[in-house]
Amino acid sequence: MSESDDVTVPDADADVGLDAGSGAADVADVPLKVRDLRKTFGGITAVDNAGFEIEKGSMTGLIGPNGAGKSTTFNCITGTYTPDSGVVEFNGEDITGLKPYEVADRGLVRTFQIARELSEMTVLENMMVAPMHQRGESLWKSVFSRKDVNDQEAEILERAWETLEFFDIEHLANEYAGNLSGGQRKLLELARALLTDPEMLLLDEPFAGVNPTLEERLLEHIHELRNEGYTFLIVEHDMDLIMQNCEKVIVMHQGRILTEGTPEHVRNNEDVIEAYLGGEV
Amino acid sequence: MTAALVFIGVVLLLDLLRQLLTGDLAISGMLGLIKDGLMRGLVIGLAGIGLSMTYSILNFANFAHGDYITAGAFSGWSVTYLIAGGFGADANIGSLALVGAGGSVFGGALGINVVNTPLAVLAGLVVAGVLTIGLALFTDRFIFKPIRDSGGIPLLITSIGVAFALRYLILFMFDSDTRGTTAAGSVPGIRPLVLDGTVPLTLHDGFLVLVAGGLMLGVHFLLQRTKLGKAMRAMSDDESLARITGIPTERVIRSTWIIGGGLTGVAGYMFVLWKGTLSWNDGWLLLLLIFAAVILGGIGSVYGAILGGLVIGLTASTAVIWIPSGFARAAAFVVMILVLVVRPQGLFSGRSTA
Amino acid sequence: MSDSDGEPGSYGQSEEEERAVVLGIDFGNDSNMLITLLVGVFAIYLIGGVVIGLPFRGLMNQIGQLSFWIAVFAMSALALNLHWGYTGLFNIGIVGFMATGVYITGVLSKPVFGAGTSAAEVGGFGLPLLVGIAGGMLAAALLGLIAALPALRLRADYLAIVTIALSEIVRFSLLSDTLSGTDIGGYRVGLGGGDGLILDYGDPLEVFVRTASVPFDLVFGQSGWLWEEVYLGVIVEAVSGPIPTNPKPVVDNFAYAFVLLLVLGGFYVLITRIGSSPFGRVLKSIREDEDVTNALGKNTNVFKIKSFMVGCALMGLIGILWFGTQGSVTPNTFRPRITFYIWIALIIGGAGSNTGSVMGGAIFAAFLFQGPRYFKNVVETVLGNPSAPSSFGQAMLPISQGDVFPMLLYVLDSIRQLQLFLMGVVLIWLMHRRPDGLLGHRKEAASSIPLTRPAKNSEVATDGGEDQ
Repeated sequence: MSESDDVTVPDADADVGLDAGSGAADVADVPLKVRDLRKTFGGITAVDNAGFEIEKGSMTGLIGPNGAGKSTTFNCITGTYTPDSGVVEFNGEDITGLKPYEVADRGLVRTFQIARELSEMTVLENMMVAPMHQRGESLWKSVFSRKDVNDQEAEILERAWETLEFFDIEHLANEYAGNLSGGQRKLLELARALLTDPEMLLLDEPFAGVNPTLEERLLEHIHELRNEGYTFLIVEHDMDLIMQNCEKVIVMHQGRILTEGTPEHVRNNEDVIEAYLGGEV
Repeated sequence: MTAALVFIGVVLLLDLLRQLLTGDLAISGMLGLIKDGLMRGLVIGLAGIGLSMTYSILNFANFAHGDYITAGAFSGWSVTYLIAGGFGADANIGSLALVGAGGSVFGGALGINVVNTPLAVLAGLVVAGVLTIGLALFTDRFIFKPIRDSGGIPLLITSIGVAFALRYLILFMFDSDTRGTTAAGSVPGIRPLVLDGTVPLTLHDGFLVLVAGGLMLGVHFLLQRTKLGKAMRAMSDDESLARITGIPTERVIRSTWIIGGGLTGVAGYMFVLWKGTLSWNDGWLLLLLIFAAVILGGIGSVYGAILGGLVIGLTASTAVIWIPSGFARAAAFVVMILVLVVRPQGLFSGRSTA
Repeated sequence: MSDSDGEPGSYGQSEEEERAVVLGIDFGNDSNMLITLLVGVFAIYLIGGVVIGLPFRGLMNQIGQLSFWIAVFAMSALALNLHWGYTGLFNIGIVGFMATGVYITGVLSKPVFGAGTSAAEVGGFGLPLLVGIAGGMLAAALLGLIAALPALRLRADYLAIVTIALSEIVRFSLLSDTLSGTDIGGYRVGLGGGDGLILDYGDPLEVFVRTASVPFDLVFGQSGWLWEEVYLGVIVEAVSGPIPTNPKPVVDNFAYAFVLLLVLGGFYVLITRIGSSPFGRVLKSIREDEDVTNALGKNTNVFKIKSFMVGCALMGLIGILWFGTQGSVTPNTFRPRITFYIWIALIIGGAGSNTGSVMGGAIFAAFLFQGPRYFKNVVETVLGNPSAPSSFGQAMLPISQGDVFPMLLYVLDSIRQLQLFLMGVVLIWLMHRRPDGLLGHRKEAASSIPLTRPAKNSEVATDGGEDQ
């Protein structure tokens, strides 16, 4: 079982593309590519020809006013929805329309906006569900290969514990997840996602309804993880937060990509200003 | 999926034509089956209205519903027997009240039918409805309401307990005989000639159509024209919203049980009147068919329940044209399973309006 | 860092919840609890019978029966716990899988139809019983697969309706004339229709003992040593002392119940292993939140199907063990009523707990299933077997004259119906007062090792460890 240390730290010289479609052609440097994504519900076009690329080891924010299509795009990437047309490519593989578990299996893992902890299970159990391809998940092995399964369980237990320590919630290890406070659940959500050994994490409004102290703590952890080599795509409402923390920002409006680039670039972009001030909530 | 279903439909239709043309199946026979199916369908639909409404408003599948039907039937027929046979020096009140338990009194001997003993029948009808209303209110108040917040599955399990308790109490009191409530052939009817044979139509067929149709019409007016009906539709659509807008939900819930219970009791009574026999298991045997009808029509939709009832009744009855009679009811279940797999929200997508 | 001395065995519940505490009594551990329960139940039956003066043979029969029912309902509750307690699959079609198990075993193992069997009967394929049993379990598992493929993605109450519809379809199929007899590859086989199937494949008990005897046979150079020498020669012989007339059926009762208790032990080990493992953990996770489980990369459909199929195979086996020794089997035995017995047993014990399932099965068998019948037996013996009124009406009449006795007799006589009424009431009461049953509140760790704090290994790099 590889630990998070094994994820390769991104090449410091990698070109962090600043505008849409600026090359960054090497698949290894650009794990996620979205092209011409389109999704309609009934008569409403929620996502209209959206496309962008995410560089490895980067922290990118996806923002936009309500109804911009952020969530739908998010869900199309993670397999919850199947887009009407368009391509989602991860590490060079076309993953459009794959089921959620298949997407997660390839290293593209999401969290949920309202933290969905497995409430009748303890925090540790929650964590230990996460690692993929566990030996003991085979029905046969769980009954007949107890020794092998136990060995791996011990490894998983250790990894789980360490991750809990990283988030400073190891004192809750044996607590029922349902008894956790909202903030603790958010931390658990992220910790659990980490244990799947992902390449890239898609965070769905992780800061929604979060108090400033917790927000800071979450950000600290996310930055640290990014320094370890994880790639983040964060969908958020809170524009300032994204501007202050992400090196690249993608702005959506009415289903389309309005613009993308560095925070300064986006901040000064007239279309963006209009979109946010022009009548939307 | 739809392509497959259409294909199957076409195959069945072609086979039907084949049977009619070769004389394997008489047109009159087919019409007889269709009539039979529609009659059953009316009963299923009538009983299904109540189930559909409570399923939608209270969010649980009430497995005791079948036994409400049985309870209504027994109570109503007890009264009918008493009135039909209870006057006279040698009337055996006890066994009349128990609807001839132990084979002591025979319905046929009492000559019960709607023209012969109209008072007995009408009184039984009314009592069936009223008792079932009482039963429904009682079980809701003391058994379902206290745990309403527990969720659909605990309520479902509880309703199974209610079903057991009710059914075996009825069995204990009325024992296990199947009674003949009307003597075969004693009900006036006609046998109109249709092409190659006759289709038997009895007065009780007509009466069933009258009662069921009338009640369904009544429910229609209730839903569309009265404030209560509007409130019920609103609650069925979205309960939290209904609460916020000030609809008195407890009253609506109670009304749902009353209407549903009344219709169910009458359906039970009419079913027995129509088929001429009464047994402690009658309601339970109908239950799955009623679920099939409600699911097909869309949970929460009254019109769906009616239409679903007719379709399921027809399916169960006419299935014998294509498959051996032992599997006729299985055909209706297969329809239900298909609906759940292909379009779980049913035909009318759970709306109380058409 | 928070305290570094890990508490051994701590699991996140109050200490009391974690231990084997039931009704306020602390038993120390699960085995003690189970043994106490069983001993207590048997004691009640024995004492009751002895005090009343039941003849020895009758009493022994009752105890043998009790053991049988305890085993059967405990096993059934365990299998259902896998479906519902672990995976959240609301299966109320249990009886259909039981029927499939026993019928297919019958078809496979009945002697081949030939001269000597009457024209109305059908025969079987004449395979050895153990092969037939394996086949029956496989058939039940396959039926489970067929049901699962379309239905597993349905929400719980819809799945419930589908499973019960399926069990009724099974019953219709067993009743049908079409499937009652046909020719397959030269064998005349069938399901027997409304008449049912005669299970003339020999005595399962004898088959089991003879199979167990194989190692001994090699040693002693005799076929069926365990059966001939030990069972018949020693055990039945010994019992013919206190029970001189025809002791074998009484011993058979006990012996078979003993076999079932062994199988129950096997069930318990199997299901506990499945549950306390990563596989079981995923099942629990699916029950909690299937979307999250998918988002973590698990193919939930495959897990659900596996769990369902294993449970159904076990239910098939129970059907075989329960109905396979009664000489014949008819379709109308397999009504949904039996499914609901098992649900009641599971709820009494507490869904989610394996020990609870066993306890629930035992309590159901002893007090709700056989208990009332035993009670009737006992009281009737005391009263000298009086005749009861033949109907409710007849029992009611004397009440107007102040005589309640006939009604009491009628109630006693109708215990078989009233116990079902009682079951309904008990179920309602449980859902109101103790929906978690005896042990459902106790969360059993879905992990194959105890979840204690791992020893701090200083070589393992922490991921940018934070200071407290």
